[in-house]
Amino acid sequence: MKPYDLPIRVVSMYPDIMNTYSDRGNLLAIQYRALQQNIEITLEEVSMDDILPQECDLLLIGGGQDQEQKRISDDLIAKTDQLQVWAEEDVSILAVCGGFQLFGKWYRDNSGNYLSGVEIFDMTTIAPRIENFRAVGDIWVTSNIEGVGDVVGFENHAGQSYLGVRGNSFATVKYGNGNNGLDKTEGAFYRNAIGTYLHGSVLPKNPMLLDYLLANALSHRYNEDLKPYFSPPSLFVLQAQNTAMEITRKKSEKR
Amino acid sequence: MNSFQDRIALIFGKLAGQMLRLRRKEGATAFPGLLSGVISKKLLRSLSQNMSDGVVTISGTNGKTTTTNFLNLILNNAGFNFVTNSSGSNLERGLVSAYAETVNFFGGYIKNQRRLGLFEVDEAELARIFTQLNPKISTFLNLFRDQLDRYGEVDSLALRWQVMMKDKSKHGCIVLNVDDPNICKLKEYTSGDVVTFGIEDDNLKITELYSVKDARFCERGNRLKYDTTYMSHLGKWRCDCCPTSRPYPIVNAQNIFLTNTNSSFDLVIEGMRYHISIKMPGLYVVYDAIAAAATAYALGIDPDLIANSLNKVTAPYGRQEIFSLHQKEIRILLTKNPTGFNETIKIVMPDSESVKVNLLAILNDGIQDGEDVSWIYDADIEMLRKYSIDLTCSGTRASDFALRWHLAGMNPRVVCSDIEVALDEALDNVSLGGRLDVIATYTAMLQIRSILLNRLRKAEHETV
Repeated sequence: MKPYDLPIRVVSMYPDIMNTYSDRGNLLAIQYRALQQNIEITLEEVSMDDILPQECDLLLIGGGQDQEQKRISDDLIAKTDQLQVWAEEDVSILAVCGGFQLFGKWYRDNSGNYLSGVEIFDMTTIAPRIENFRAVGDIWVTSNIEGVGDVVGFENHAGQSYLGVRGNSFATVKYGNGNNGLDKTEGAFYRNAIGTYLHGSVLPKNPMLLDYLLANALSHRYNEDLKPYFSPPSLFVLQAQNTAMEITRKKSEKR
Repeated sequence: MNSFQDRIALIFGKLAGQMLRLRRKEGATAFPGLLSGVISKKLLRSLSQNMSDGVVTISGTNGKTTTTNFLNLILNNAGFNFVTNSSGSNLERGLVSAYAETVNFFGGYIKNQRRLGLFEVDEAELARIFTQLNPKISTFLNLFRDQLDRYGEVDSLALRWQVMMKDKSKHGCIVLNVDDPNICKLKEYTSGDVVTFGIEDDNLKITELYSVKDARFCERGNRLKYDTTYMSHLGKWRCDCCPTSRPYPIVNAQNIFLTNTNSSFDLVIEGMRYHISIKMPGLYVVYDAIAAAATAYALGIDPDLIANSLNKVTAPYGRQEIFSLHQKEIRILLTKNPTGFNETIKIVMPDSESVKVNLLAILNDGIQDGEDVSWIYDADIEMLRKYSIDLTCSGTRASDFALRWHLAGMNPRVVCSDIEVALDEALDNVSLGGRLDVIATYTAMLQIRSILLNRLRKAEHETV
């Protein structure tokens, strides 16, 4: 018998536009882990001019170039109300890089244009007009969310993000730049929504973060605080995470 | 003609080149240029000016080395006297290295000098040195996402090329792959001659279920439509709202037929048709061949001679290069970005599910490979899932690669960062007369190649 009768409804936003930093890897990891845990998944891809479905348990949005962020901006604003409702209803959300920036209050790109954000995170982002600072490299952070632990990946962004007074950072930087290279914060979280600059892709090799997102999605689906049992991750997963951490540490110490 | 400073720089560069040749260090062809490049920046301009037949540049994300290599043979057969950087050393210093061979130790130009420069140029470097090179012909192959940490995003690279060419009247002939919308757009940036190339084959369809696309919108922000897609965002595209659309390419390939080891097609040059068969697999080989043909055509070379030459080409350095060792064949497939990876996968994919595939997949994260390895998730390696695969993963990011294959349902038998150990493990499971396909990033390709060359030398010694 299946442990879960109801499928998890995954919504992937702008997969054909916001996909710059291998964001597809996160979806592949979710599909892989769900199969392992006997969780059925239905996937809905929502792009420009598409309507968001009624219900969602797990929402993904990836990174894009400035031009692409501008391209989806109006469409995203039209979807803001529903996205905010979902965040308040504890839908499990992962927004990476450009998607994370647009889930803040606003983003000012390097030509000085302002793009309004979805305002799920109390955070603003500024891309410097002259690109003298770009955060590029391996990054290792420790999450401020209980049960997520250390997370490793790659960052590549010109935008510098700053949290507001109500903002909570997703993680604290161990090696790398994070939100702005100054205050050691990385990403943001609000209820069950997580925003981060980490790709790599981030979910395949960070099993605790992956399970955290899936557990929240299950809780949302069943309207209860499930404590699902997850089998230990495969050795391939752990090995990739360990090696990536080791490489990040070594490269940082060399710099 | 060249200043005292240039002469000093050239002498240093030349000495370094001689030293390297004595030490037989494969792949280190940029070093002489690195030495002289730091001494004089004007060197490149001065050297280019000395090429009385002009300079030809080949640039783009994928296919630079192979296209240049194909052209090398065509130009040789056509009797051209030229200098080239055919070993894939395509940054400014690689070009200076190539030029350094045309001068003597006193910094003067050698008599009977070579009069044409044929250079593959790194796509990010091109904008910086375009005016210095002042090419008579510049060939633009394609723009795919590749090493985002080093090159930046495709949009910004395309824009840099447009800015580089904004002075329309100043450049020579441009040769464009019209299947790539970003490349096709460059025709608006010249008042000179344009030679177009592309594929004209409606039976050819993309087979991967997933492929990342990098140019999908027109200037007005509407999605481009594709009647046929050949590879990633390359294909017969059109836009319903803009007057610009893909023109019929002057040089094109038709009736394409691909196998695991061979590519054949009809090469059409302004209505003349030739059958071409190349002993290298993969659709990108077809693109490289028509790019070389279009460039040669722009140089005024006879189409008969172009076709004859293309039928005789072989694989260049590390690109589908084949080594035979102890009755086993080892084929190196340089793979450095998602589009190239998808094409590599189609090459290693066997004709039937009963055929076993031996794979050594090496992922390095050096600066030349791209420090960000996440691009492996943008390739559709799931295409290989149903086949029987003996997989070994290696390189500095062996475990990232292993996880990627694991997610696609294929578990590597061995994961080992040491390439030499991994090679032995992989070869152990190859039957006599069988083949090992090596998927390798740039520095991994250099490493595996040098290991194989060493072993070949040893094997020769043993037989002597």
